[in-house]
Amino acid sequence: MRAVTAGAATSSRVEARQGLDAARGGVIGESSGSLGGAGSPISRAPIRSEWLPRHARTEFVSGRIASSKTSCSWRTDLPGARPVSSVPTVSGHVRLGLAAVLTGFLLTLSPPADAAVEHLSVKTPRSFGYVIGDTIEHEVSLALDPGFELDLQSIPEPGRMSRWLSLNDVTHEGRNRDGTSRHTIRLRFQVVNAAQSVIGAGTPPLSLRIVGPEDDFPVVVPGWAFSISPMLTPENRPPGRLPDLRPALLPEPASTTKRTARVTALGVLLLGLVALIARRHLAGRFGMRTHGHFERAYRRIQRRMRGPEAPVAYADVLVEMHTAFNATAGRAVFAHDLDRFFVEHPRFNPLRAPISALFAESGAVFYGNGTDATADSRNLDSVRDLCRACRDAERIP
Amino acid sequence: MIEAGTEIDSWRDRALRLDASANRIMIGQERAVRLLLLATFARGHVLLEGDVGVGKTTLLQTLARGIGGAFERIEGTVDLMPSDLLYYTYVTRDGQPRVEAGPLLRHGPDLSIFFFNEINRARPQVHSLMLRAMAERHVNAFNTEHQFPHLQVFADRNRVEREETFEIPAAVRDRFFMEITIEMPDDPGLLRELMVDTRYHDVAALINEMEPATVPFHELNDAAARIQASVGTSETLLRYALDLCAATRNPAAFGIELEGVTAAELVQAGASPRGMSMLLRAARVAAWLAGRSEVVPEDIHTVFEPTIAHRIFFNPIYEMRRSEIAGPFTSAILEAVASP
Repeated sequence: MRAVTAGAATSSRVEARQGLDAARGGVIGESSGSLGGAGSPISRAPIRSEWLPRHARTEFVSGRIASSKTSCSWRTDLPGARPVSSVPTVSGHVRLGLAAVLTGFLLTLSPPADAAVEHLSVKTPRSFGYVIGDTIEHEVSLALDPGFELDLQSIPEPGRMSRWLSLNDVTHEGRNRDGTSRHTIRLRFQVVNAAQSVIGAGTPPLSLRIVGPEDDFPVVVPGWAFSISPMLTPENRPPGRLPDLRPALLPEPASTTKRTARVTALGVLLLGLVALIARRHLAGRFGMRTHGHFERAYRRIQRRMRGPEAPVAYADVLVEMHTAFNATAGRAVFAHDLDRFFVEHPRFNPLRAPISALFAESGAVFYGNGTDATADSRNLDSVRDLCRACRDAERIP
Repeated sequence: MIEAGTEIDSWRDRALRLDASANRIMIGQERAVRLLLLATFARGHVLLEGDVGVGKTTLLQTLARGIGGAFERIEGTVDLMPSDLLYYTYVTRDGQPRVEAGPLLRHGPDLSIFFFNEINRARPQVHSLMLRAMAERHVNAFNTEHQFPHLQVFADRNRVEREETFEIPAAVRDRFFMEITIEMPDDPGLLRELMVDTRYHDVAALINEMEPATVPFHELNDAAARIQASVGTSETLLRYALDLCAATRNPAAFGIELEGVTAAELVQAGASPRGMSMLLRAARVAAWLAGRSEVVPEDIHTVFEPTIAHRIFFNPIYEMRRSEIAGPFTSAILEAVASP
């Protein structure tokens, strides 16, 4: 396949067109490019990728190939980048920038005759010295002519890329201005394997699909080569020559602010509890009004018995008593589990016999057959007396 | 009336004798024995659930011997088919194929107890045949209808394994009068006795100690009907029972709270009308066995969990935790619903 260089394209529009036609729909394998300093004139000399030095942060800009605007440049904005001696002099046109070394990340395009890619660049970091766990971020910027769109389906999905590399995160931002759609694709790779020695690895080529008005065609960003280094190798770690690996991190001391808050909350809770207990147990002693369950029941029973609607239903009075027992226990109390009630509320123990009798009586009234539910006043009085006794028991601290 | 009363009393004596006799063999399982007895006198089928080796099978065999009548048992397996219950085929010595009645049909109407071991290992096809036999007490086979008027099904399942088992469908579960959970006795003395006493090593010999046929099985249906008629229920008690069943359907309305459970989302379907009638039926038998002529809440409490718990269907997220939720849930209902 014939290679297309941006530099060549500048020389002759016709020639570039021919090249593009030839390259249409395909991936350009052996690519050539031109090398120039930042802001330097575009080089026209072809460069083969293996000649180019691997470097830190490379930016590559490709212009609209079939137009006079066509430009192609690689820039590096790595601070402190120095000329690398291994850079071969490929051509007299190659210039090394003052503060930047141009590096070899080649981009090849294979657009259709009506070239649509206005701009394509990839920002890459340094290409050496990666160890397991390191992340590598690439930023692909793409601008397309009006009428062309990027097929979002062709953006790669996160996943394992190779033995060495996993693509962890892919984000895409697209915006459209004056018909030109601009896309920024950020790829975050991670080195997921440990190398035994310094080895070369690379990102896979990225094939982006452009949807044109007539047909679709791919734009391929070729793979980016870099090297993975071991963290330690057996030979450079004989005993005593290198310090041992650092010991594991100790846990950070726990934050005391949380604990203080907890202690405060507990204190407040305890204080509240003490206040509640004090109120419940001491209020009666100091003549304060309490709201015990039996006290309430006693008041209601008395109101019933004094009230105008005589005769008072015995069953109603019994229900008052049951309600008070249930409220005291916090559950439904039945004749057969009174023992549990006395265990849980020992203050009622002295009243065990009359309370048991009351439950038996109530059982006969409510579940027996045909016991008269309107008892005489003697029964009512005894229930009221028991209720008063329970109220007094309730007040015992 | 007095005659009927004495007859009821004599039945109670027999039942209590059966109870005492079974408790001599099954130590530490008084509650389970009592509930099984209640189910027998209410003519209900029983599903026993518990861990492996707690004596489910022994208990059922003991009671089966005490009740008397024809007894059949079958082991639930994954390849058991409904036809295996009805007939089996074999080739005679002279080469003739023969078809014989299977365990369910072999004794005809005299079948008293059908014991289904590990029922959850059988497939749903078998469950549906059992459903018919249990609910209608008859099955169709060989172009005729076979009646089992005295049939009582005892089934057990262990709750440890879930592999290669089939969950018993809701409809079949509802047909069981009671689901009784057998727990290991807590008493260390009893456990020691179970471990040391050689009497418990030979289960067959142990069961033979049971006094056989203490109650005549063919009179049980009659006795059960008379027991139901003899025990009364007051209006207050009926209201209480209705409240309890309502609480199984809508626990949040009764202020029931369980730890780790959203009460409002817990229940998919509560106690069915059949369940409610079974609850009262069981409570009447409990009252009769306690010598009362009226049902009191204590009787309801005795039978509430075994008759109702397995008829409550939890939402799927809670269904898997049934064994840990069902008990506390029924207890919470009993504690929350007051009467009178």
